[in-house]
Amino acid sequence: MPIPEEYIDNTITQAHVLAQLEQDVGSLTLVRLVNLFINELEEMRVRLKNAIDEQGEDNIKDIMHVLKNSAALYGALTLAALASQLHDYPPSPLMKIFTLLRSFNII
Amino acid sequence: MNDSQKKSLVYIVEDSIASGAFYASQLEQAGHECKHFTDGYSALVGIKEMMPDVIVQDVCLPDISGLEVLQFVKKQEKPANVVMITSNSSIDVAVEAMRLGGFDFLEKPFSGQRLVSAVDSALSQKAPPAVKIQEQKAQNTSGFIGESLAMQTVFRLLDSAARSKACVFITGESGTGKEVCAQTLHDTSPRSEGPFIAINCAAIPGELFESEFFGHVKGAFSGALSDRKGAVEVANGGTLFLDELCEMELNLQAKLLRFLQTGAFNRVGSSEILHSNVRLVCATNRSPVVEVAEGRFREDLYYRLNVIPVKLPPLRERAGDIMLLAKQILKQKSESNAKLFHRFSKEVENLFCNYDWPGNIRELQNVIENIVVINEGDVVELDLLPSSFGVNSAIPIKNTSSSQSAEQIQTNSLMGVHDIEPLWQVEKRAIESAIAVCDDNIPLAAAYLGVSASTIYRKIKGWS
Repeated sequence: MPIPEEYIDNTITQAHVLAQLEQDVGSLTLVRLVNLFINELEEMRVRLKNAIDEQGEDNIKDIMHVLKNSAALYGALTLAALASQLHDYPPSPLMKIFTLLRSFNII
Repeated sequence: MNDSQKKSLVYIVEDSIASGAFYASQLEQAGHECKHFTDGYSALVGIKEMMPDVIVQDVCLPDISGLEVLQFVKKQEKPANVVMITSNSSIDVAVEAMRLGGFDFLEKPFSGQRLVSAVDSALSQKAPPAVKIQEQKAQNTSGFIGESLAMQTVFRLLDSAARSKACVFITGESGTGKEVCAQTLHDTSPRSEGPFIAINCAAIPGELFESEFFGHVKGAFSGALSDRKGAVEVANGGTLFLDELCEMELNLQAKLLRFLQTGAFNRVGSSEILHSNVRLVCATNRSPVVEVAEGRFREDLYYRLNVIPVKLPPLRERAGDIMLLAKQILKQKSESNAKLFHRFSKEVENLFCNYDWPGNIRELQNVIENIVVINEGDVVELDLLPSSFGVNSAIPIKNTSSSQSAEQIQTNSLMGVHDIEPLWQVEKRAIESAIAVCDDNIPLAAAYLGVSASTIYRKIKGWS
């Protein structure tokens, strides 16, 4: 059964990507996969916070590598684009951005 | 035997749990059994315990490089075919993976259908046993021969390429044997039972190209009186050879790129999506790098096709092979024309070895065929050579530089260890020179260096 539109926030993920995934693997598997994705997002958030605290530029890049692909697979295209941009950004300006974001309590 | 025993085993090596589960679900839906490893070392342990049928792996892993996993797999007794997953920025790594024996690569983002198709293809093209490869190599030498160092390098490359599905891009001057090379590659690959379809892109009018390539349905255009399969469909399960590729129009290049990315196409006049499992081998006598730099050839398509570049040397750079080829051609032509020629005189051998052969092997074939057809005898003497021989050559007799080369080699071998320059410095110097020569145009320099512009930017960033 297709996922009702009201349950999908298109600012986060694209309905058509999830619809295709559901068509490919079925509703039950889709639910399991989306849960895995959400759990991974939570794990990445924690790892990202630690990496920023430790100024671990390589770790940040690794996290962005994971995020840019999995977000694209699950239709979270805005997140995928942001992760891709941060992954490809030079390390020093990247750290400055994070420091700036932290100073404003954004992350 | 129960169902699970019949399923093919696919290992997925991917550091993201969500991505790995995504791939596994798609493959399980297609009837495969999957096992997911989130790092390189646990994958190595799994591979050591049990070799799967196919491995799908990301080139970027958290602990070791995906290329190291690939090399480990290829050292095992019965290696699985490996499908590499890459991102845009790691396309040069994908190229390296294909050189190391990777079967295919998928560029993110890709569809589930493309993943399933790549795995199915890897399963159906599992490497034949070693004995069969040896037999194939023996056959190979009968059609495509050479003892020169340059040709031995080509043979080694073809030997690795034959076992994968990766695209091969053959470059070389006219007459160097590009189609023979493509045919040899097909004959020694696990696809040899399938068709070998050759298309000369320069010989097909632009307006007919799409139809020739992808086929058409009845009524698609005036003159389309019945459904017709295109070369892509006919070559299913085999090899599609595209000669003179740089002659292809830009709009068709876009369609070829789409086919390469998805494995899907539709006949002209039909919206039905069809799939074909073909191995693409391309050839050109132009410089694809220059064609890309001047905008006549799509850069994205070039990188997709140039996975395994094979450069065939001109005959003048294969001095040791000239008489080897001449004797083989003489034998063939004598047999097919019922003549008795079986050797060349010393004078002819000297002349052949010192001539620069601007028309390469094709010219050598024509000269020998002319001699055999017109004359009688058992030895090819100087007076039998056609009067036109050598008229097109700019330098009829080569200036041999062997003594200079030997001196150079000796000088290099006497170099002390303190003179050895670190590889990164050599690379840096080469890149900086290329950028300077290209007037600071980094994409152009990258094209001439045979890497993507992003690689250059990354290197520059690394130096700073």
